Formats: sequence, C-alpha cells, structure tokens
Amino acid sequence: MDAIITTNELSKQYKKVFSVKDIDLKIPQQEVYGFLGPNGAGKSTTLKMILGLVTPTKGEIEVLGKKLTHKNRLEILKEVGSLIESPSYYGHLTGKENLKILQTLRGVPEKNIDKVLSIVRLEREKDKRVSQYSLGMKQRLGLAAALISFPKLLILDEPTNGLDPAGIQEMRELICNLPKQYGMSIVVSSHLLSEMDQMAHTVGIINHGELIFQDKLEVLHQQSSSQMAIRTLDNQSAMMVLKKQGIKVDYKEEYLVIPVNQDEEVRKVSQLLYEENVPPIRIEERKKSLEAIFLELTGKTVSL
Amino acid sequence: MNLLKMEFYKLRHRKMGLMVVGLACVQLLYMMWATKDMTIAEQSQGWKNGIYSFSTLNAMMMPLFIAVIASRISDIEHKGNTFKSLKTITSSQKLLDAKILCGGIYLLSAILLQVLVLFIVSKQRHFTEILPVGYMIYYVLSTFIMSMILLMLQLSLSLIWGNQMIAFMVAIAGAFLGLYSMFFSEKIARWILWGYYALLSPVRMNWDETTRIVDFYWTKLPIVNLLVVILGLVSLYIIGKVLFVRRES
Repeated sequence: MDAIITTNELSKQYKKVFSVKDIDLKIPQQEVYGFLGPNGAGKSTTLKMILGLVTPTKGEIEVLGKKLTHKNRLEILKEVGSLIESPSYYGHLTGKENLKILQTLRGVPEKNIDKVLSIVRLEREKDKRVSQYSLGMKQRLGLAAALISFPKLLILDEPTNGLDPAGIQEMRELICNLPKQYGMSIVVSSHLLSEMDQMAHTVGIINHGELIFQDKLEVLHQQSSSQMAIRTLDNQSAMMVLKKQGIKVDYKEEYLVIPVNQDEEVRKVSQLLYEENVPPIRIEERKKSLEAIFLELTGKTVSL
Repeated sequence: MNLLKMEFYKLRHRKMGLMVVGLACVQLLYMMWATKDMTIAEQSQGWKNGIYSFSTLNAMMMPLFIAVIASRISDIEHKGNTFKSLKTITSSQKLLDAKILCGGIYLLSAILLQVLVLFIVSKQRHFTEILPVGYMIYYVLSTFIMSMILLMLQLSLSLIWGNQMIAFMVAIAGAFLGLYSMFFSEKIARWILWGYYALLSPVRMNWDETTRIVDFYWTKLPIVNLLVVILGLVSLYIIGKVLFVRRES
C-alpha cells in the first residue's frame, strides 16, 4: 500500500453545480499532506466524503487500502481521527469529560485520555468546562479528540482557523511532530499557503472543485523559476552590456532582474560586469512565493 | 449499550433528573389541592378520579415536558457541532436509537412517579376504592406509548432543526389542541395526536348539571385508539429515521 488515501474521479454535485469534480487524490503514508485551496474550493466537501459524512455523486475512495462503502465505513474509520471545520465539543462538560465520551465510544483504553491531553498540553485545563475555553484551547481539544485512538490516519480540516499567530505556531508544531512520534499519516487542509509551506511534505491544490496540482512541495517550489536581481553603480551601462550579450534583462526598482538560476550562469554574468567595469555591488536571488505560484496555477483570479 | 450510557453521560449537569422530579412535585401539589375536600362518595372513586385527572394533566403538561427532554437531548449536539464527530464513530441509526431510548427512560420515570404521586394522594385522602392493578398497568403502558409518539415527533424536530423554537411552538400548539380536544366529540378528537392522552384513558366522567355531581366509571379499554397510537409511533419512527439518517453533516 503506497498511499493511505486514494480517490478516483471523486465528485459531488449539488443541484447542477459540482462542488468537487473528478478528484484523483493520492495521499502518501506517514507524512503531512497539505490540501490547499481558497475558501469554497471544495476542500471540506472532499474530506467529508472521505469520512463518509457526505455521499459522493460519483467516484471511489480507498482508505488504508480498502474501498470505502456504506457497510465498511465505520470499520475503516476506527483507524481514522478527524477534526472537520470547527472542533466538536459539549460546552457544559469539562475537557476530560468530553474525551471520556469519545474514549468510551471508540472503545480505547482510558489512559489514552491523559496521554492526548498531555500531547495537546491541556492537562491543567482538563477539569474546566469547555464553554470557558478559548478558541485555541477548543482547537487543541479537537485535536486531542481526533488523537484519542492514536489512529493511523488523521484528517484535519483547517485546524488553525481563527487562531492567533501563537496558536497557529503551536498547532503547527503539534501536527508536524505526529508523523515522527506516532507514525501517523496526516491530511491538513488550509487556505493559508504559508502554513502549508512549513508543514506539508506533499500538497494537493484544489480550485473550483478541481485538483490542479498534486506533488511534493519541492516540485511546487521548482515551478517558481528563480531570478537574479543585480545592482551596480551604473545600472544603465550594465543593462546595455548584458543586452549586447543577448541576456534577457528587466529593470525593476533599481535592480537588473535576470532570469537565471544556475550558479554557472550567475558567475558568467558577474564576470562580464566586472570585465566591463560595472561591477555588481549587490546580488540577490529572488524566488516567487507560494502565493504567487498558487495564483499562477489558479489563473490569477483567486482572492485568498 | 455504550451509546446509551454516553447519552446519559452527556446530559450531566443538565438537571434532567430534577426536571422529572419537579414535574412530579407540581402534579402532587395539584392533586393534593384538587382532592382537598373529598366526600365519602368521591373517596370511593379515588383511583378513577386520579387516573382521569392525570390523563387530563398529561394532555396539558406532557407535550411541553417531552419537548424540553427532546430539546435537551438534541441541543447539546447542535450547540457543539458534534454530529459530524459522532457519525465517524457510530451510525446515525444507532445514535438516533440511543437518543430515543434515553428520552424514553426519562419519560418512563416521570410516568412511574405519577403512579407514586397517586399512591401518596390515596393514602393522604383515604381512598376507599380498591387499587385497580390491571387498569393501573394499562394506564402506565398507554401513557408511555402515547408519550413515546410525542417524543419521536419532538426528537425529529429538535434533531433536524438546530433552532429549538420550531419544536417548542409545535409542543405549545399540541398542548392546547390536546386540552381542547376533550371538548370535541371522540370522532373529531381522534384526528388530534395530542388528544390521545384523554382518548386512551380507561376512565370516563359523567357530570350531572342539575345535581352538580361528578361520577367516574371504567370504560372498555380503548384498544383501537391504542393501536392507532402504536401505528403512529412506528410511522413516526420510520419518518424520523429516514430524515435523520439521510441528513448530511
């Protein structure tokens, strides 16, 4: 089994509109898979279909090597923990009581409650009513609930939604440690690209219900052809020198921008400028941000 | 079994038991007030009077009490957005069954407490009528079945719509209809679901306008009415199940 989740032409249609269309996901094991897309792209619907909470209009889903059907759904989901959209909780009960319900229903040892409380660092607040928790604490409780059975697969839908920067960082650290510590495979959806850049090994990008990219994060980064920005004491002369040699060059904000990314090419340009007496005083490598790549992939029309 | 156990666990701190006991206390106070000047003739019809009064009280109070029970059982899930989490652990069908059973146990407790209230009143007011065990068992069973049909209705409304006002409006309207249905003929009252508390009662009342004497008598057990209620219960269970199970999270 190479992939922990595989989908084939997975689609969901509401009336005449496709919320998700022909998605072929291949989510690798024991790493963090970032499921990326703007709001309303179809991320939650896809994840809900994987969990059997929404019935697909078309397509197949394979989780942990087994084809997901109505009959075996709950059997497969015993190995899956999830946190979909906002965390689920009983506000009038304490954090520990909330976990006790899930621990009993999942039929896992009671000691798991303390274990997951410690992982999400909620031991001190375990006897406080959840209605008195901050949003960050509720999200951490949601993560603890998803972890209660120490599943093989964890599906987290926008787990950092509404958190402050410190909360986001804390949640990110928690998620990143799970594959290493417990051998879990994790699917995290988000509309924040920077977040994925710091968490995910592989990413899938969904837009208007269609999967437009799926590969390792490095491959996504490679799509951003890096550029070299050079500044000299006489940019006009330097530009003429480079153009004479047939090198494509743009002038942007007092920098000469050259589309090269190999060290050898940089060396050649640099040497040429020295020889022509317009030595570079500053050389910078400029790469497109993930946001820029994402906007390119989605036709530059998506507002994040 | 775990699901049912957890239904009760989820209702911790929600004072459900207090509500059941509170209802019984209100009913006890009412019965003590209603029977405070009992004549010898009335004492000889004490149990009939008690069962008749409770059938009337139930038509008024039970729809609202059941609406509160159903709402509490459902509201905890809506408020915390927990359906999507529970549905990854258990089936919607089992979840619904556990909720019906949990609500049913609260209702049965309330009805058994009504019997206890009747016993207390019988001792306090010195009923001379012999305890009608068979009719009492019928009363408990028929009231429970009738309450279960209302629980199914209220649970369906409370589970499907997060806004509990809809369920409460139906319950208030039902309580009024149930009470007023007693003034209609049985043919008309049979079309009103909430009116069945009175229709299922094994006691009827004669009221002589000139002497102003009230006389209670046992009637033939209304088995047809009971069958109608059982049929309604099964139908509502199927409808509620289809609506709840089909609902996507």
